[in-house]
Amino acid sequence: MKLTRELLLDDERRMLLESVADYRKAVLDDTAREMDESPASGKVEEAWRKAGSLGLTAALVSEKGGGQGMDARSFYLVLSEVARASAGFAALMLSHNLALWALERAGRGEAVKEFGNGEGSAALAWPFRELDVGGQSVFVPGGCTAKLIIFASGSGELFSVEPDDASVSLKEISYPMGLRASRPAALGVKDLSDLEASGRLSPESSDELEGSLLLGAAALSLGLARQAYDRAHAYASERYQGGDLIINHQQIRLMLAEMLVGLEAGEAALEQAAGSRGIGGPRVSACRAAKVFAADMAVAATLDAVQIHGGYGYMRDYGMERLMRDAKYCQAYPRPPQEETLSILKEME
Amino acid sequence: MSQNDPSLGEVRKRLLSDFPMLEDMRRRRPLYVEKLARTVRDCAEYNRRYVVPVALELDRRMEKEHDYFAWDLVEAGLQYRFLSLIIPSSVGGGGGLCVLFALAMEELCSTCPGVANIFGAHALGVTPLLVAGAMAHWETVLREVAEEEKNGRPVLMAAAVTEPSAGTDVEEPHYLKTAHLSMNAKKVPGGYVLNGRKCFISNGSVATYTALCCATDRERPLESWTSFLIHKDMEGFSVPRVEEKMGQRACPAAELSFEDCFVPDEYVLGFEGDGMQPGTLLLLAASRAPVGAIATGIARGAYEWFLEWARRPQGGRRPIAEQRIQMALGDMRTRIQLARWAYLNAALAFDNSVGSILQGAAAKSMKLIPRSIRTSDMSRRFFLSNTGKNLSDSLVAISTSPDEASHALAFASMAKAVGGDAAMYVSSLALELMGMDGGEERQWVEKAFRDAKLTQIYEGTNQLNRQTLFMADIERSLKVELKNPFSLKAVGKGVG
Repeated sequence: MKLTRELLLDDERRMLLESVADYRKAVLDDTAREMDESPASGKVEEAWRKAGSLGLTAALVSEKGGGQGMDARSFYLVLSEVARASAGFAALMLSHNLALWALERAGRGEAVKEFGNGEGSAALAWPFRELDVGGQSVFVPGGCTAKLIIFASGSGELFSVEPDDASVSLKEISYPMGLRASRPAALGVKDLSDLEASGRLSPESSDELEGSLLLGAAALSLGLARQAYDRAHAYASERYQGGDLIINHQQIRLMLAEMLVGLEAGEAALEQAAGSRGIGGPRVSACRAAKVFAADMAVAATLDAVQIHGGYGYMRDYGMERLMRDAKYCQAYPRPPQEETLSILKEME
Repeated sequence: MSQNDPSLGEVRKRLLSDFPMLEDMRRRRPLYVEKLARTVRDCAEYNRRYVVPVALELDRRMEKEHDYFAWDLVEAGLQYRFLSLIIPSSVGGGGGLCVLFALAMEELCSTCPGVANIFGAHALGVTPLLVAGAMAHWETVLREVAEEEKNGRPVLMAAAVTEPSAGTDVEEPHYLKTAHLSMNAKKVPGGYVLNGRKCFISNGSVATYTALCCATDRERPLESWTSFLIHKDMEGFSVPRVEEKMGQRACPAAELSFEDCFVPDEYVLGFEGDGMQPGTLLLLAASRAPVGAIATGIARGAYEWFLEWARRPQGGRRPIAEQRIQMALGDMRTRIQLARWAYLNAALAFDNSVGSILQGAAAKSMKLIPRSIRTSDMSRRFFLSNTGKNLSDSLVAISTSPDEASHALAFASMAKAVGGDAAMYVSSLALELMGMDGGEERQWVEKAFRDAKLTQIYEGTNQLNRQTLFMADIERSLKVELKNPFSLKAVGKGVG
């Protein structure tokens, strides 16, 4: 089965997608469970180094800066493909690559070179909420392992801090239900005035960063939903119940078909929002809409995919339950859907 | 979350306000309603004292050590007699029925459905003995469970229906005809020889006794579906595997294996061929309302933690001050209340029909016969003989019409599906609104979300429950058989 957007890919993107799919099958499919259950076992680092050798850890960095110079749409394709195996690992890639993108924009090319080769990682702390003194970001994918954390204050000042900086605290989120391979942490900053800003993001690049994070999160959800559909369809095509394959039970067909409705619409919304860059910067509200839709859709699709698997869907060795846990986390990251939705109205008014 | 043990008065007040139908019942049967309140109070106390402090840690531990079993929590429950809640009082149990058990499950599951389901799966194992077992099974097995509990030793039970290639199929007479079965029992002199596998059996790895259904003739599974009682020490029986689940981890789901396992005739529950009708269908009529209660308890737990979160000041304001949070709380509360009424209604329907005979004159008269006679070899032989079995079967027949049984199953299926959906809805919405910054409350709601998903799957998927509801209620009332030829008229066989 191919979705419409996949049929519309140009040759360059098709080749990119094939090489990422090869990487996923060779490196991620078999280790995804271990990365989820024991994210500190070393498998994440191993996969990260291999991603580095393919240039996926400097995807958005310009070629001049030593990266792939990948356009945003291609990057979302990569994330979706990776998320099919491990949305947690894809969240790590998203957080890291956007952190490097922001660093390069802020003129910190040397840091980009240091972390773009798959040996270390940076992480983006977004949203960052300023408090009376200092501030916090409650869920930073890659926060536990990052050598450098990037966050932007409300006024667009970009800060890059090392985890052992005295004014910074990073607290491992000890038992997250989803996106566990990303080793998330909560960032706390005691006092912003203790830190030296490493640059300033223009309003446009700030919008672009947020828009890209939202669409990246949407891409994770679409990858999860795609995997849910494929696995559920395959299972329904071999499981008998009631004297017939369950794919021939109308209720099961309806659940699968609804996944396709969601996938087609979600892909289209992502494509349109990504294309809105052409009208003078991305339209963040369109990115929010695409993200909220894709995330809700993925939660529904993964829950149904578990349901179609019956008892097997609930068992960890089948890998279906991980999809629903990850989808639920993608729904609330970077911000909960209702808050995102309310922002759309505010921006449109 | 409350720091103190709830008082009986508080619990009684809460029950009567949540269940207006109990107020009416209290006028007629005050002692019964008082017993319900006492049981719910016990569950709340058990949760607060023993489960709340360890539930999150236990869940995490069992992700790594999935075959660990928290015997200490089972032992802590013995003082409350959770293992004999529904065992008839004539053999030393609490004599509760579906209503009492369902209320207990809601309360227990509001903290940890994994721990609660140890007691739930146990009761599911007791039920086949209640509805199909002979008096001798009551006198021996059920009495053993009740007495050992008093002596501080847990004897756990389980029920085994699901097979690796047949889940939905073995919960539905129409589907059973074409099921891909792996278990088989072959008649031999003096008993049966069992071969094959059962899977996802809650308590399967820790139960002393397991009530199991399988075909004696795989070509005619519906006609030959038979209930057996398995003891864990029977030769040829083993537990090769305990599953690694997403949630409800404290209650193990095990695979059971039978290799030429000999089961004597006296371990047959009811008669050969009675396993599905009435056996499994009565079991489902009895168990689906409590599963609705399990789900309701999960929803309630998620709601209570979410409410706690919403009241906590965050970044200078309380989420509960926002209209959308207030609306969501109202929505959650509504769904929980509807699920609650659905399961209580179904449980009442069961207790009033099938259940009433278990507390009826015949069962009570057992008490009038001195125990030494009841447990003598002679009476044991009598109760296990076909005459004896017919006598106990006729107990069920006296007061259960096919309409009543069908009605009870339809309501129970409704309660199960509505409960499971409420549990998913409430836990899912709570997580969505809390965002990533949920603190400890979020950890409980995440656990509820993982635990909740199973309630849409076990005891028949919600899809099957709706199908059953259609067939047992809607199609039946239309008095025509539509495309699907199954109808619950068959429940009448053997019971009416």
